[in-house]
Amino acid sequence: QMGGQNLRKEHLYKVLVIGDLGVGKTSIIRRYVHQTFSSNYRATIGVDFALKVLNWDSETVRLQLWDIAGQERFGNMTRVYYREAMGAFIVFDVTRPTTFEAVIKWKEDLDSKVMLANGQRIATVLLANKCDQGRELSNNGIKMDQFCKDHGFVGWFETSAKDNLNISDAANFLVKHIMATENDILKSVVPDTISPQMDSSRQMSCSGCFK
Amino acid sequence: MEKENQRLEASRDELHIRKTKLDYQEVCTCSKEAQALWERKLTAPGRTTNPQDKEDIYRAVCQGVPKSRRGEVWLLLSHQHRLQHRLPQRQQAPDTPYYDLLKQLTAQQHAILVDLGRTFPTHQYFSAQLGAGQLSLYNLLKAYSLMDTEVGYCQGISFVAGVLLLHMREEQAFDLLKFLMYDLGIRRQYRPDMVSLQIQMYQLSRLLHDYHRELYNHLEEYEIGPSLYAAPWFLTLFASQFPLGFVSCIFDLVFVQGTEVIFKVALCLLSSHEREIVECDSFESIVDYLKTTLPTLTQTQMEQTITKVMEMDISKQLHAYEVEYHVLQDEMLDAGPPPDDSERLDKLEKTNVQLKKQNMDLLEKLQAARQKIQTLETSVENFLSRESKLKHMIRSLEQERATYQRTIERMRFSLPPDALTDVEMTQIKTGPNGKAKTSAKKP
Repeated sequence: QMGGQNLRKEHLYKVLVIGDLGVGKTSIIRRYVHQTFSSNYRATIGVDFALKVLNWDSETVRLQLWDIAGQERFGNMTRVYYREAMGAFIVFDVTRPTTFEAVIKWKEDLDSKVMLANGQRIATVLLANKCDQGRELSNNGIKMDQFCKDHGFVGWFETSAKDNLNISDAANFLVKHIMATENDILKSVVPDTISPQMDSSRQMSCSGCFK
Repeated sequence: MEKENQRLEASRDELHIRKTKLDYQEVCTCSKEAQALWERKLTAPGRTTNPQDKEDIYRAVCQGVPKSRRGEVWLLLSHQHRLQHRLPQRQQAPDTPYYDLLKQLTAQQHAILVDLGRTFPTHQYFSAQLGAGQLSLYNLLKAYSLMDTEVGYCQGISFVAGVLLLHMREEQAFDLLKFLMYDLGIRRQYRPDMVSLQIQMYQLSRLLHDYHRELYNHLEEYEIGPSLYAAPWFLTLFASQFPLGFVSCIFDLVFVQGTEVIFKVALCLLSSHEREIVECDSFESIVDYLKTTLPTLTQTQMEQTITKVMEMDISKQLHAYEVEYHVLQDEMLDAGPPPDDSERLDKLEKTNVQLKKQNMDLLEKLQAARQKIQTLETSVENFLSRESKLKHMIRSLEQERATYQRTIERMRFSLPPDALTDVEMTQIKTGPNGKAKTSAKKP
């Protein structure tokens, strides 16, 4: 009866992966879930799915990753795709500045279409992908921190799906934030308790990118 | 001599490219007779100017299209379709020449370039970076994006264009792409608002609801709507996930029947895998089945699907569901913009519940109406058969009457003259009866 395995608490989190066309959303997911990389995946039409199971302390976390087509017009379909998401990655390509400019648009679209039960924005992490192809952002670290703060990201990471850089760190970071917000919601449901107001989205994070 | 050699080499290269392009397993291998039939059709004089019988063409397509002539067959089918359905002027594709378009620059350059390597990445003809296949694909997509400024480039089109390129030269492929997009109207689903695609998703969902209720309920339980799995089926005409032989057969049918074919294939695929899908008991396992397992069809499954698709007719339902979608949409707009977010959510949820209920009510009404139509149709048939029976009876009565009259004539003839006056006297007495008979005879 005490054999804890069966009693393991399970969490299921829906996580969106969004960003402009060709920034490497599918590659990041493949690297994270299947530990592989290829330079020519088939284009994502509509939405694709992947599942990553994590052992988290004594609990199990199932990350349901929604890989959403990057072309802008698919945004008209995303209301269905975004529903009940708990967290998100917004990805841009460090070698293409326009994909970074589009990040704000993606974030606004996300916040306008989905929110948590307590009305808060869902935890979102910014990924600067293809960092193996140059353009060090680390020098701009302070600027990036400020950018995240201004636009409501919980943090940012430089990633490379090709070199397997920082992807699982970013995922763990996001899971941590999702769990924190989940606890907040659970607390807020219990009446007669006062929970200290600590807005986790404002707690600036060291993104773990400063090497 | 040297020239001759060069020519030989060129034609060998061309053959090699053709072989690379057509490197896929045929699904419905066609018989010798079918091949001969296409041979006749493809060489018939006036095949691009004289309309052929539509049924005849459809029957020919059902007998299978030989892979080596497929490109020519598609071109023939497009000519035939255009002879019979001329688009109104403002719906026609602009007729800027292909080579003029190629000289211009497109605003969609980046999106197209990114997708080149992601369109049939494992097919030999397209896999080489900036090889012949990718270059042709680039030209085609660029030209299209410049010609159709409303659609421009939309992800999905590259697969449709790719399938065409495997079967014909670039300019021909451009012409057929225009045909599919404008004449058959698939360009609607790629428009930036994607409304048409959403309507199609709704239509597919309703078809499932009506014809495969158990499957529909199962998918609904895990909140898996068609927009989660069927978008690539529509946007690439199945080309992004399914074997090329199967996709080519679907294209054969699309060229004669239009976009309705996509719904039929979708419905057949889902219904033939109903048991396996219902056995999946989680969101992940269902979407994984639909996206990864289902497209790896066996040869027999593909053949059966194509045969089933040929026997289906769902045009009426598709039309009804499209109208229904617009009605639902209008009602939602009428509700007006709600004031604040949480209220908005509540309201949307309520509307959703209401709409679902309304949907079901409408469906029940529709089914009742269908049943009624069927009863009425049966009684019409009964009336018709009774009418024909009665007509038959009238005819035999008339014949009988004519025979009697002839007998009377004969009898009258053989009577002596004084007896004749007696007969005339009796005729006067029965006069009204006789008159009634003559008037009844008229209709």
